[in-house]
Amino acid sequence: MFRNLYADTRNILLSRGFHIALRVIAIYQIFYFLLIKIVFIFALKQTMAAEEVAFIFANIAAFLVTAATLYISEREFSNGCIRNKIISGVRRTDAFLSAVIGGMLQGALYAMFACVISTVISVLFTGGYMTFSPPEIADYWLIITMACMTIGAFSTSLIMIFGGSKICYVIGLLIAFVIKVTNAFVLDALYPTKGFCKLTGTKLMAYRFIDRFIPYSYLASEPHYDMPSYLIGCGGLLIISVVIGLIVFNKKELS
Amino acid sequence: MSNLYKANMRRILKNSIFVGGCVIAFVVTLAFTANLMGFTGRFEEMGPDRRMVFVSVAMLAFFTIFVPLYTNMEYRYGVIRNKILSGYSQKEVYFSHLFSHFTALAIMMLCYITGGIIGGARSPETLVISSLVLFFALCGYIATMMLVTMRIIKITLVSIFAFLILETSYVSVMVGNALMAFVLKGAAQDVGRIVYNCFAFGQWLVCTGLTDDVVKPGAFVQIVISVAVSAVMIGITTIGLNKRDLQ
Repeated sequence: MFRNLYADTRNILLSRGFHIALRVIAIYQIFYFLLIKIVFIFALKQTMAAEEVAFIFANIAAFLVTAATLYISEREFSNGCIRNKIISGVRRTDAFLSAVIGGMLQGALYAMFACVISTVISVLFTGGYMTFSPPEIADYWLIITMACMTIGAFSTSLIMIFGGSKICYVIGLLIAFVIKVTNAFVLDALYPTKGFCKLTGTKLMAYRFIDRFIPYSYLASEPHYDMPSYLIGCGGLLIISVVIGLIVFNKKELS
Repeated sequence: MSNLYKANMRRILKNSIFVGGCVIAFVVTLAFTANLMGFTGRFEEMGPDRRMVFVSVAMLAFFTIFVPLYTNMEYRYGVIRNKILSGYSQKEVYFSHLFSHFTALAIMMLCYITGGIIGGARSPETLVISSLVLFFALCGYIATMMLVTMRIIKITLVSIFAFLILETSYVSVMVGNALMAFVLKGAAQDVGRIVYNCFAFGQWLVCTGLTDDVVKPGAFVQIVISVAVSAVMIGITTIGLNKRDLQ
C-alpha cells in the first residue's frame, strides 16, 4: 500500500501536468490582479481592497482540479500502468485508494499554492482587507481547500470507475460545468439581488441542499453556513465516491 | 473527399453516443416544450416556444463531448496515416469530419424541431428563424471544437481544452451581460454586441429572450457573425495542416 502510495505521490509531484496546473494558478491570479488594478487606477481612481482579488482562485478551482486529476490519473489506464500494478501484486483496493489520496493531495496543494500567491498579492499590492477579518480569511481558505480536496478525490474516483472507456475523459469536466451553471441559478433563486427568496416546499429544500451540501457550490460564493455543514458535505461526497469507486473498481474488467 | 464523408456519416449514424443524443434531443425537447414535468413559476410562464429554445443549449454540451471523442479516433490505431497513405490530404480528412459533424448537427436539429412541434411549439419565428440562428451558431461552435480536436492529438488534452472553451464562453457571456447592460456605451456597445454574439452560448441566450435588448443584433447579423466565426476557425485550422508531421 505505502510503496504504491509513495510511487503515486512521486509521480504526481514530478509530473508535467502538476507543474502546468501550478503555473496556470499563478498566471491566472497575477493576470486577474493586474487587470483589476488597472481598472482601479485609471477608471475608479481609488485604492483596491484585497477582497477584489483574494479569492478568485475559487472561480477556476473546480475546472482546474478536475482537469489536472484527469490529465495525471488517466495515464494509469492509457499506458497500462494499472495492469502492471495489479500483475506485480498490488491489491485493487490499494491501487484505488492511493489514486484517490493522490487526487486529494493535488486538490490540497493547488488550494495552498493559490492561498500563498493570493496572500502575497493582497499584502504587498492592495489596500488590505476591508470586510474580512483574519479568522474569516482562514475559514474561507480552509473551505476552498476542503472543497478542492473532495473534488480531486471525486474526480479521481470517476476516472478509476470509468477508466479505459471514453466516458472518463468527459464525465468529470461535464459534472463540474453543469454544477457551475446550476449554481448560478440556485444562488440567484436563493439570494436574489432584488426582493426576497420566493422558493417554497421541496424546491426550496433541494436548492438549499445544493447550496449547503454539494462541495462544488462552496466555490461559488463566500462561506455562509457553519463548519459542520461543510464538513458533512465534503465528507459525504468523499465517502460516497470511495465506497462506490471501491465496489465498481474491484469488479471492473481492466482492458 | 466524398468517400471519406460517406464513410464518416455511416459511422456517425451507427455511433451509440450520436443515436442516444438524437433520442435525448427529441425526448427532452418534447418533455420541456410540453412541460410534462409540471414546472411552475418562471419556466411555466415562458410558454412552449421559448421553453423549446431554452433546452436547445443541451446540443452545445453534446457537441462539446461528441466532436472531440469522435474525431480524435483518427489519431488512434493509425487511422489518419492510413487515409494519407491512400491518397487523401490532411485537409480532406479535416473537411470530411467538419461536414459530417455539420450533417450530424442538422439531423439532431430535425429531431429537436420535431420534438418541439409535437410538444406544442407553433410560432414560425421559433421554428424557423431561431432554429436557423442556432444551427449556424452551433456550426461555428463545431468549427471551434474541430480546431482543438484536429490540432491536438492527445485525447485528454483535447477534452480539457474543449471544456475550457465551453467554460470560457459561459463566463464571457455572463460577464458580457453585465458589461453590456451597465458599462459599455455608444460605439463600444456595438463592438461588445458583436463579440457577445461570437459565442454560440451568447446567441443561444439571445434566442431565449432572457437577455437585455442591448445584446440583440437581429437574426441576420447573428447568422453573418456565425458564418464569419466558422470561416475564421476553418482558416486557423487549415493553415499549414497538410505540412504537419504525423507520427
